[in-house]
Amino acid sequence: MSIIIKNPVKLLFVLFGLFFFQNSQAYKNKLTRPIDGIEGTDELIKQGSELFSANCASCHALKGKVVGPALEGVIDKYEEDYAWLNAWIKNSQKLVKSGDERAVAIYNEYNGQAMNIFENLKDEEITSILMWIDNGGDGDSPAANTDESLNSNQPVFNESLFNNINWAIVLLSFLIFLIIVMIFGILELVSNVTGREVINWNNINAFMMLVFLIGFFGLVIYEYNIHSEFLLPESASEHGIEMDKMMKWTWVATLPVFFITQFLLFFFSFKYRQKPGRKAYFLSHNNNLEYVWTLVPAVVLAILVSGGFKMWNKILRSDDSKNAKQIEVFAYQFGWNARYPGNDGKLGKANYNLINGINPLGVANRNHANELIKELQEDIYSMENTISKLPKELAKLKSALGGRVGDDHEAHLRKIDSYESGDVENDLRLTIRARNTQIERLTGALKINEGSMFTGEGDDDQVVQEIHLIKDQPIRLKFRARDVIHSAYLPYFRTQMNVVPGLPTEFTFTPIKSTEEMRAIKGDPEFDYYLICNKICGNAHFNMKMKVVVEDEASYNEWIKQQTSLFAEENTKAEDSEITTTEKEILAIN
Amino acid sequence: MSSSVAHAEHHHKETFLSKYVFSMDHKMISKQFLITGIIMGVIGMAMSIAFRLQLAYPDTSFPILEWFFGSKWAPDGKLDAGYYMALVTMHGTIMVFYVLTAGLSGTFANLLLPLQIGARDMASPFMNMLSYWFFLLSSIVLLSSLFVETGPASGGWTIYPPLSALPKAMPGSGMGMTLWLTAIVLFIVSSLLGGINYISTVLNMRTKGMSMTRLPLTVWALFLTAVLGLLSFPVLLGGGLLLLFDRGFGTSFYLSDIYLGSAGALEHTGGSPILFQHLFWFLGHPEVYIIIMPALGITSEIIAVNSRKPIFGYTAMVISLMGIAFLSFIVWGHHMFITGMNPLLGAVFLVTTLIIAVPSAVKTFNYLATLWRGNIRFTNAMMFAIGLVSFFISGGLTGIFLGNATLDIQLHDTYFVVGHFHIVMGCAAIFGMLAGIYHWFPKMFGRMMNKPLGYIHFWFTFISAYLVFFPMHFMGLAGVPRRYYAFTLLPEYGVWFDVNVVMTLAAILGGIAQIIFLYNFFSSIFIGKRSGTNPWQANTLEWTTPEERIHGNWPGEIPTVYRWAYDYSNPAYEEDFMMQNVPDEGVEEELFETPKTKINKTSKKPKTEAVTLFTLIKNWLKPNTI
Repeated sequence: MSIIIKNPVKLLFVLFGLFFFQNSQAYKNKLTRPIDGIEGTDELIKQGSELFSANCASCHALKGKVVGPALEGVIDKYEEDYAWLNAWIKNSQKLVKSGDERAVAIYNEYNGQAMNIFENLKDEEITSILMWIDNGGDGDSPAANTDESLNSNQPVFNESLFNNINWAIVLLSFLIFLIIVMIFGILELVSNVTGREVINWNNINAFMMLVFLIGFFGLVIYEYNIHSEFLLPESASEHGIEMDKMMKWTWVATLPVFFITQFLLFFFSFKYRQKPGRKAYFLSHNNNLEYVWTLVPAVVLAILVSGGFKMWNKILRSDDSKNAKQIEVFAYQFGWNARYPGNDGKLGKANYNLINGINPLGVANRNHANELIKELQEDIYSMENTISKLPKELAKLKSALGGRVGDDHEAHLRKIDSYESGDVENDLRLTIRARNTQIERLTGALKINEGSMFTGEGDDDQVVQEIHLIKDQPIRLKFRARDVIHSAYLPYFRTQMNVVPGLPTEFTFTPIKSTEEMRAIKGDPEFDYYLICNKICGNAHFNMKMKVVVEDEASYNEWIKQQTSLFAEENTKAEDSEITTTEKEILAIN
Repeated sequence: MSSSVAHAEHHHKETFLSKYVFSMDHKMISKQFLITGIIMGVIGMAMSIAFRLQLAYPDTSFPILEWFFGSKWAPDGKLDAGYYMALVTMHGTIMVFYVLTAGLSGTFANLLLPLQIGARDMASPFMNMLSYWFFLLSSIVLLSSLFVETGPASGGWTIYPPLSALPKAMPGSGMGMTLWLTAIVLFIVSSLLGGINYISTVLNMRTKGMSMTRLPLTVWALFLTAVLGLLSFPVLLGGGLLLLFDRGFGTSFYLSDIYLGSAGALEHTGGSPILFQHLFWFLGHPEVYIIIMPALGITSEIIAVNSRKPIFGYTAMVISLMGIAFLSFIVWGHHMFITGMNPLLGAVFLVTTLIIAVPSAVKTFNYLATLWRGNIRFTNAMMFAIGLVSFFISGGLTGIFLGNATLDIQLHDTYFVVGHFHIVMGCAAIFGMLAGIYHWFPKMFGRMMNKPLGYIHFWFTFISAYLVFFPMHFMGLAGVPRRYYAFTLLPEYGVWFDVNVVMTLAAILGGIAQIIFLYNFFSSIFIGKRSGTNPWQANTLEWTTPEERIHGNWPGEIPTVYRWAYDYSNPAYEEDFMMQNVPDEGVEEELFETPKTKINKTSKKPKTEAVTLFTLIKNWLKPNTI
């Protein structure tokens, strides 16, 4: 890293810090075995890599726990049982509810944090992900191998020698520190005994104030020099340009105040230090002076307020947003999706009750809703089944208690307790109630004719995992969250808006720099825009991003054509029969 | 007087328990608050160093972390992502509530209010004792959440639902969150018990001659702080209780339309997560001023004493305190500009937020004017007070960026915010607290702290604080979000790698400096030089009490007050200070019969006040004659 070498002070800091470092391991490069009976090819591994970063990377890394466990070695563990692993990846909740022992154990180990459902992944796709994992990653995805990307920035040192020197430095500085403390302690004792100061602390500290002032300003300017090159380049959105201007003017208003007041503070401290025989100037107030320094900040702030007020309204309350193209951005723990309106140009309605593995955004579609109701009913049956088996389960647990020791024994006792106290049953019954409510709400929604959400507008919607925008065309992002509050942050577009469950939010902006142009500006051919999460949303909050591509209309059209519609093949079917058989059944039940 | 006789009577009955543990003496309670606050501060700071290690060395194994937190939370010596969040949350909670609210206000309101207004104790000593015990209980409950199976609360100190409301949304939202809420409820009870007490003490128990216009600025600041707390904490209590209902009883105040990966579609419907944020920040913003105002009050006092000059513009200082206190209730929305709140509301909060910068600016300029042509003594307390002013300037100016809704779109929840509030509220308030400790240590323990060690403490802390928090502004301007466990999301974060190392090392340096302070503090209690009654040659009433710190404060009569608290270097007197209780010849008898103008004529002191607004307040709140 060039700045380390440029700045000797920092180099020292980094060297000191390196004492803590350990060697990073190099990755394997080759597959040594077939996965699930299929031999790995480069294409498959590449596909796996893409799927991994889109679906898995927010919660898993190859090494080290993120939210879920580290995946390195997962192949060794499940080599004999790919079928189970496949079922777990697709829908771990189903396995847990079916009472599968291994599944329950993992579920409990992670405190009841369930893995997301991936029923949308095909078997071959899952296999390709496993291949990529067994390959040890591809070595350049930052999310997948944090160790490599960070440690590669570090110069290499002879570890043992370096460690010894460091220990010596640490010990030495500690000794020096102790000696200083002792000297000062003795000085204080002497002055206590003799009754007069040995050192004129007042002058020393007054002088230090001056030194600090110079050092402080020096460091501020120095830091600006280094860090200004890391700051964001000119905004990639239209409103951002003006926002940057406002930022600049706020700097113009505040920086002089910063330098002048800090200067006066430390300079006065130095200049008016106590001197023998001097008396302070008695001055209790001066109204004119006080009026001045009340009114001047007030006027300056009023100017800033009016500018900010105007621009705020322009950005967030403008009428242009109604004419802009819109897409939906959907946040969940821990990832993003986007939904494009398809051919009809309209985003279909969506509801959280409709979410499942094949419809992650809960877009309204009659057939899907009916399928889902069936699925939920099956769920309820299986849970009721589990409840009826609980006494048997408890007896089995009790008989398995013997022979366990230590923590294992404790954990087993706690498990028995959760059965005996009725917690397990209670949980299941609450879930059943929630499922019943969900079915009720869905059937209710299906019955409505006027203002129904099942308009069919959503059938051609395209759910994608990266956003493509057309340069110079305003875009209206409509935000929806699945579970908790997230925040969609697009720093290069000077855009941010929280994504709140139950409260639709939106933001309209116009991208004015394509990805290619920004790459040229940054001098980084690898650069991409990203939408990242900026509101604490759980353990993998730091690992939530979605790629944003800004391009010309032609390449956008090329891309959007390739995206499949959510319910494309069912489109015609749904129109044919207004009320399907399942619906009739449900109506009969009600 | 009869009250002093009564005090003498129950004096000899004191046992160890009644003197040191279940004490109702305000001075002992203040020490209890202080020492509990220091312990919480040490814990909070240690946590921050632990997670700063993670930020600077994300791939390094620190066996000490595993040894300390156990292999569950720091497997292989690396902090777990969830536990990182937990530490951040607990650090915030501990520092904001337990150190800078209870530790700062609790200590100095208890110590200074009765002593500086001339009262024998608080209005209700028993409530005062309860206030401390609720605080202690609350601290214990909060710390106990570190030991529950799913870990402590980890949704950030602002505990926004739905994350905090749903135990299945993250492990920290389980038992840990329940304990967090319980602790905060206890804390609010403690804070309300204290606050009511402080307010009634200041309004009713001022000694003869101590009109509101003669109150030292510390008392004004602590009094207004108590008013803020009394009006805002109950709102958080309500908000927290509703959150408990949502968690436990299936209500939907804050929850709506939620599908959880681990629980499917939830039944909750019709609630609003934004409602909680309104309730939270209705406390949360005044809370910022609850933290900083006592520190500003302490600074006003210390700067005046050690510049040997009257505080410049006493009236303006009081009015700006009042202005800050009032405005702090109508600016909370600036924490929520982009939370999905109606943009029209955002525009309103933008206006009120920037207005609050005006009284803050006035205070800063008045501090500078006080230093001007003073005769400055660099006591330890004075150093920290100057440090506070420096932080207040730096952090206050960045507030102008964040208060501007337009710029907040870009800067919201980035490291710019972290840098801003740590400097303006964290460091400034801690410096106020440390200044207060160094200044009033003689009044608490009858001994002086070691001065040279205090200087080392100051310079190390001051420099390291700037080194830790100043670079954060640049990270924020580059769009680096806060509350990230590791900066691995985007390759461009790599450039901040060594900056993070510098910040962490500076934080460790700052931590080491606090060890010096702890040593100095605790050793001085036993081996410090004896202080005498008025070691700083200050004017206020607490320095008229004997060194022994007796119950009831003054052995005889409570002194009568004849002047304001800031007669330093008045050319009318030979000495460079004139204590509030020293009578001017021939004035004391007619003090309350004569109008204000006449007092000024008969006293030798020149006219120091243009009292117009205050004459009204003075007539309205007549001083109490005991």
